Amino acid sequence: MRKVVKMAVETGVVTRPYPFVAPEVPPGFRGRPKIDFNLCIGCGACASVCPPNAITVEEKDGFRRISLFTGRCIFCARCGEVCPEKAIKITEDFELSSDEKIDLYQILELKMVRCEICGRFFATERELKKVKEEIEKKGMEVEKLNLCPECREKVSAGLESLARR
Amino acid sequence: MMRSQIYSFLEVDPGSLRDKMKELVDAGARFSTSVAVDERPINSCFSHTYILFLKDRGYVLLTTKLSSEMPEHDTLTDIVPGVEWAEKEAMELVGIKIRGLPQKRKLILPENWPEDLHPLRKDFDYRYRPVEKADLEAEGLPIGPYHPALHEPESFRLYVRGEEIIDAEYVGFLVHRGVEKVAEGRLTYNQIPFIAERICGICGFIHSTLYCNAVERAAGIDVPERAKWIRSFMLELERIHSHLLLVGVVCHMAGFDTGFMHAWRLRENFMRLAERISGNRKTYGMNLVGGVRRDIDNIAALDFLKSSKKDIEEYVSMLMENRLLIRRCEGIGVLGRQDARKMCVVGPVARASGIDIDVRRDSPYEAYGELSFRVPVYMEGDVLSRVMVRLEEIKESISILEQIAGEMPKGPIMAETRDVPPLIRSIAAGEAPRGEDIHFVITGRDNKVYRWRVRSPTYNNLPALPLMLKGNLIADAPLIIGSIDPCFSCTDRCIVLKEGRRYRLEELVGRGRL
Repeated sequence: MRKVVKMAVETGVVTRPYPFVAPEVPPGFRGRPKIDFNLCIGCGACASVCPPNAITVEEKDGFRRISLFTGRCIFCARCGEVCPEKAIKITEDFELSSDEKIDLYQILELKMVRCEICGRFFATERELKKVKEEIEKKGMEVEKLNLCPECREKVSAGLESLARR
Repeated sequence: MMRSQIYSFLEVDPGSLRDKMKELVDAGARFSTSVAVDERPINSCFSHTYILFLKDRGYVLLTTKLSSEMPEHDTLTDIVPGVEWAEKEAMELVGIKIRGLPQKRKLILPENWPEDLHPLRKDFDYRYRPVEKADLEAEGLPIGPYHPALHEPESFRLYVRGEEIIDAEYVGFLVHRGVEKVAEGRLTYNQIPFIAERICGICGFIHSTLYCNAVERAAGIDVPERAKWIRSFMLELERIHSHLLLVGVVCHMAGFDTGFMHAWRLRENFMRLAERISGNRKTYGMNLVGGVRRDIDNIAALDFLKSSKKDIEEYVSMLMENRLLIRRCEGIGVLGRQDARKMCVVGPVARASGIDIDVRRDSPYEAYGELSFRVPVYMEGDVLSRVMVRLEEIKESISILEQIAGEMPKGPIMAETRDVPPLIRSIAAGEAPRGEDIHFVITGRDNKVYRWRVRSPTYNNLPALPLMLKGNLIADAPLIIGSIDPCFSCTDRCIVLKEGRRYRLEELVGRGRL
């Protein structure tokens, strides 16, 4: 009994009056991922590694739609890890409750480019801009950038007439 | 002693399975679990693999191939009574007919599940859900599935004479989530660690580690030394907070809430350390196939350990001084050594009943081959011994953490990525806080696993509960059940079910309940 009382007195009050005091969040805490709409090029790397399918990529009417739904997110931070543009930041926000479901969504629509030969939408404008920059950085000449991968292959193989069809 | 985890394969035809099993068991083999696989798409047959552990040979995978039309063989329950659950699971989920297996009730699938439908067969789509019908009828004295003293949905039927329990029956798998099916059906290699970690709400890291170990072995990936040490560090951290949780729960069930509060106060410090290291207090998210994602700051960890060691010692001496608690736990829920061996129990439950096993020492994985620690064993087999084993293990784990933080080699923490070859079998075993945990993997194509089987420690410990409950008082039942530290979500590998109806995530969000 003596030790119980001693421990109780020495310990004192441990419970913190949250939410009336600031929460303790250590640096490096994995909270809500945030998409920087200015940096995202819509490559979809995040969607392909996302374990719970919280990030989805859809293509419609010449736009690629990237959607991050925090309601499914498991806060593993894999999206931030694989993003080639550092467009996803892992924030320390964890107080995410809301009355409106739409508050849990981050949706970005990026304009896509048509293939010059077959006319199908195949990449976002920002993706192509990025590719162009990378190629120029290596001092190489930029060519056939506005062709979709299949048509580019045919043209490279000298089958341009086949591609035109 | 073996310095690394080894395993070997042994194939027999169904007719000689019993003889071979007998031979191995006579040679001292301990049964871990069994895995049934629908191999029709790859080998035009079914297979059933019994995983056994032999002190000098490591893990032995005793496989028998079964015909694709009539997959059946004789039961081994009379040789090792502990195989019953694993065999029932093979029968229900994969549809292997096991002759002579006592079949009173279904184990995993609901009683109203259609007879000829086996969810782990490859022709069963993971999105398919049969229509639900009537429920089980009640009998005996029910405890659960929702009971204030038990913290998860599980149900026991106690058969009593007055206050005395004369028999008990477990009705579980109420939260079977089909984790393995989702992993085989939809997830890629590096997504599975995150669902593996969510198999258990307490000791998730051991599951993601063992899953990664199994895939790494199949693919021949050399995990960097530092990553191994970091994994061991997180595993021991997990063991400490898991054991402190259980000690607290036992205090609570015994009516000593001060002990409960202090145990959880101390546990909180370890949770915070885990949060500082990994970015989250429970789902560390550290593991990927090939290594870990974050490094550890050794110095900060050492400082923390110094102060927490003293706290734990004070707490233990405070508990030991409390005669009420000791008397409440002493001599109840006894599991004798013979029974413990027969039922193939693992972990602290086995060690409290005089069985000296610990995967970390007997078949080392990660950095455990290079660490020194003691394995506490008690002979009494009662609730108190199970608590004492854990209290001593907490101290051992702190010493392991100090060794790791002091001696951890420098270097990279992630191996170079490489392709995983298809159709390779491998297993990984580890000592979870509740005992031996086994992951079995057959690698597949398209960056996915073909089969993944998880056997958590509670799966082996639960069947022994009726033996512990017999002869005790009803009032002690929750304490006895609690003392094996049962983890039902692990065991059930669990779909959100409520009032027989499945809520869609969108509905919950709409109601402001998420």
